[in-house]
Amino acid sequence: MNIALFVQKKEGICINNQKELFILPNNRILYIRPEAIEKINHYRQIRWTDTEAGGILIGRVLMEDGNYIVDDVTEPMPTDKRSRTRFSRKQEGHQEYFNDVWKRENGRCFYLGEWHTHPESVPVPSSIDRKDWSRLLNLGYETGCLFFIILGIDELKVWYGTEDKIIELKRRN
Amino acid sequence: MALCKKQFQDFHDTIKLKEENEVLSSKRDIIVKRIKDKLPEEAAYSFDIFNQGSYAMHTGIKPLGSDYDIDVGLYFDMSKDDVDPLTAKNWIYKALDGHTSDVKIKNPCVTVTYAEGYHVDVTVYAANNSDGKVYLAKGKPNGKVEDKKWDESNPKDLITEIREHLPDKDDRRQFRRIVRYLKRWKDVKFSSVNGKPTGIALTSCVYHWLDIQKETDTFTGKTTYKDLEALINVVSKIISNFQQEYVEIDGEYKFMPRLKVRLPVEPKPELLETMTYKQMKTFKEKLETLLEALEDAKAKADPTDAAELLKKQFGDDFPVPEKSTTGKKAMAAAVISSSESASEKG
Ligand SMILES: [Zn+2]
Repeated sequence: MNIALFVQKKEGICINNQKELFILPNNRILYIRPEAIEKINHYRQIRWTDTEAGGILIGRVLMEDGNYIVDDVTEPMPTDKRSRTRFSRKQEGHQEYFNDVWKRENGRCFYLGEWHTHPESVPVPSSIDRKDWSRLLNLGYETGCLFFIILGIDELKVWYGTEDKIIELKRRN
Repeated sequence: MALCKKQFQDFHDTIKLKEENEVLSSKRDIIVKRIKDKLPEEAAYSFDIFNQGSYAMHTGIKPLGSDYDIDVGLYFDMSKDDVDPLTAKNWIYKALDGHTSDVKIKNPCVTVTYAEGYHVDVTVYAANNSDGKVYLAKGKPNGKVEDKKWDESNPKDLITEIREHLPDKDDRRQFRRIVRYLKRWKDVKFSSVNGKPTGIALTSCVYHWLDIQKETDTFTGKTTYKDLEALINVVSKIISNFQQEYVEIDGEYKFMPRLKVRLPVEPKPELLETMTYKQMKTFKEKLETLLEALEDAKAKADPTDAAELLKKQFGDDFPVPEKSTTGKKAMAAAVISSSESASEKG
């Protein structure tokens, strides 16, 4: 019983500290809403059998300050290919999900990037990851930049890509 | 981070008293006519009428509910040495008695209340004095003798001082907005009539202590006014101006906070002296809660989350935007590509 209490408490502290606010080089902010974080967290590769997962980031570019907010993400779809160390996301399902949100929000939403998981404590992007990120950036999405989230077993990290470079973002504070 | 610029703008548009309440201004005209017609013969002085109150100072807000009021000042061409203040107020009372079923002499004015709940306050001044000053008739028939007096008061100077505060017209607008926000906060947060700071006391706090908060973009030269920052600035300053006083409360000596703020024009009376220590303590606690909410709102990245916190302080007229309305509009729905990722070292 004591252990259960301890675990619960520890979790509470974790959630409070886990302010998913990241600062961009131009001083803008990326905020990942708790609803989106919660969806991603389901796919943390804790067990040996857990396979990689991923999806797209959907969100807003704020009118008042140009900051970015990830409101929602898609989750692995039936046609996506998942293994312990690979994730191959197809267009199918993700595009339809995005279109529904886009319609519901009257076009006030953007494709903001990608997320996926890694079965390692602190995630490091593989060469396949980096190659794919550059390819996506070259497609020229409307925001002019994209975010790439990798959720490791212990840490979530975010990379920010523009046409000329990709950098890892620091948390605010 | 959150500025809630649009939300403050809309909130201000909603609460701002843009024009005098039409019903009340017509009531005022009727009252002034009645005073002219029915003024007793012994009141052999001419008078000028002017509109005082927050509408004239450009800091008026719409009341919650039907609690509208309108202030009329009468500048009598007489000296305070020739007329007793209560006598002067009685002239007005006699002229208005019976106009509605509720006409009362109150300490600073004569009040005509209408059945619908709104009221008109008529204030009497002696405006032709050897010292060149203007005096307000104070006191009520059964009030204390020391309250029946002529008090130096310069409502016209006050109106000018507040209306023309700050030389830059955009700075001045921020000053007025901050006054209006705090007045609405007061109406929302203080339910009883007793123990709430007056509108003019809050106006004076902002007058003395607000540092205008704006930012100019170095590239575009465009200036942005940051009302949330301005509120944080002025509320922190108000709180830091409270002084601890060692006083007896319920038979026990203790330190109690007290705020003093002076009217910006002569004779610069202290405006919060009638508040008790307990009321002062409540006032300070409410300000501290407000400051905490303002700072929490600022720390939010999402304006919707920030607006929800602000609404709890400023009431239901503060708008909480639908999340989607805070975002820019995309030109077209994105075409989602497929994507390959891996964790194996390639
Ligand atoms: Zn990867």
